[in-house]
Amino acid sequence: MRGNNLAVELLENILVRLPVKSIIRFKCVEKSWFSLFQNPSFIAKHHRHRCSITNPSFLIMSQDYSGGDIIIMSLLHPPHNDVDDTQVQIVDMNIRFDTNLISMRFLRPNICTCINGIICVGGSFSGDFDGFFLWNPAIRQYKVVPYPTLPYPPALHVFNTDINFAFGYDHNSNDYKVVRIVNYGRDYNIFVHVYTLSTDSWRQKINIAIDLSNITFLSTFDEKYLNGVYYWFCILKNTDKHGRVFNCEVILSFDMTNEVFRMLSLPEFRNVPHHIKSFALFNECLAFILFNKRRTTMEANLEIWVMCESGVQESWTKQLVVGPLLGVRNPLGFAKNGELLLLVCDDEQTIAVYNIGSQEIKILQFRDFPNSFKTSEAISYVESLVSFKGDNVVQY
Amino acid sequence: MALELKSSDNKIFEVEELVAVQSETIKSLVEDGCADNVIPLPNVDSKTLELVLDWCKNHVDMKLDEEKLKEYEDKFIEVDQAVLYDLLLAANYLNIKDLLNRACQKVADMLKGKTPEQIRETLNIVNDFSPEEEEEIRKENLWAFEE
Repeated sequence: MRGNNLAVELLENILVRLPVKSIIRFKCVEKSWFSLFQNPSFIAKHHRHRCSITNPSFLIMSQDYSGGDIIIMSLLHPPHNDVDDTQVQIVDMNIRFDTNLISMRFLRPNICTCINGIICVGGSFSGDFDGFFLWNPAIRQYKVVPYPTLPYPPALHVFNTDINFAFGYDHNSNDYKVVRIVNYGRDYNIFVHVYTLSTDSWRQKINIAIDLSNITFLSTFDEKYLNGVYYWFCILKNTDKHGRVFNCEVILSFDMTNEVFRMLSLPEFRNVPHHIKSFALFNECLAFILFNKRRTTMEANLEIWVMCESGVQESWTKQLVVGPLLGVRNPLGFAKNGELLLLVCDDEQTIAVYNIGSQEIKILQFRDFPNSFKTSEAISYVESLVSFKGDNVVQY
Repeated sequence: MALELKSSDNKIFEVEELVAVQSETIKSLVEDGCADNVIPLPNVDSKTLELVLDWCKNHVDMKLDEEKLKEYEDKFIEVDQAVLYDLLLAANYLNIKDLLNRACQKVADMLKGKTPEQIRETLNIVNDFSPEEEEEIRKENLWAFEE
């Protein structure tokens, strides 16, 4: 090629199309390339481009419920077309962490999400470490962040101390945040702490406009992050006009940019006994899935509601019904803009992919786990260049 | 309506307006009423302009046939480095979005597996890192150099 250096925009248009591995390799080509690859705007463009050209891979979380509480993460690359279903590439993502900082053995995991190619895993780890780590497997880097000490010493912890977390992205400031909500129970305050990656520090949120004391968060992993908002599935204790207490299911949301909590109602679905409720992301919207498996026929039916307008509870619409399906246990989420539905099979490990349009179901050959491992989540993953700085950053 | 375009080596090309306005640059000239005379394109030689116009014409002709268009595009972009570079610069100068994207993608695909030295050679870049600085950057990310 001829000598003239390409114009910056033109060069960017080319470089933004490279996979992460190539970009990391080219950091040493020239100083201007080195700076470009660290530029947050370039990193965002690069990630957007990667999202647009590929079907995302899936980060599968399999948890050992036998008491070991080990989480194994695998990266599942789905086939490029629906025909090739047997060729699924699985990458074992468990890496050996430096034993001084952390070991993969959890005592109690409490966050496990993935945003913009960054995986956030948090909990109580063996070695008495309480905290989370941010991990970008594409650039082989992770950062360890301890949780701030709890406001009251351990002796005062009552059994109903409830601690919940969120991991999200603030698109206004291009920053990543982790939120911890500690609720000691009725007579104590609620403590909310927010960590921001850019300052690498925690701060306490004092003004919480909403009353969180009557909220009970339901299950640890039934939470979702979507477009700058984190959602939890909760129970709200209400009192009616006669003073009677009743419970109702609600959605609690936290806006990562404004750092504001809100409560939203669930869709008005017909209650069926023994059904499983979960959240999912459907085509850039929050979805609510009702999964019902009949004990007699073992047939599973799903009702999928979608909140078409973000944050507008009146916009809940019954989007579709799926089923009957056999051999599946619970839904994991959607893929390919809502064309595919992932479910866990009856063996609690294997994953089935259901094509909503063609109504075909395919089983993905997965890996052999010991029986005590159960597949708990499938989160879409697309590689990114986001890197970490400050303390406790490990490049492996 | 026909337009006349003049390449850098003074060759005149007569082109249908519909074909030529795929270039946003030419489109602006037409809209501003500056396209009555011959439009000079000093940054594009005749060889490249001929290729570019072929792209534009086919995009008008095959607009409704996606498969045929894809086949054409795939074949079109299989050119040697020098021609690709010229197409890239021409598409950028003439602001033809789909050709630009396609050419950028092709260049990216070419660069993907190279070493930093090969990149510098291909794009004629001077390494402004000192050997120590470069070594440090490489050491941090050894895995990126493995296959």
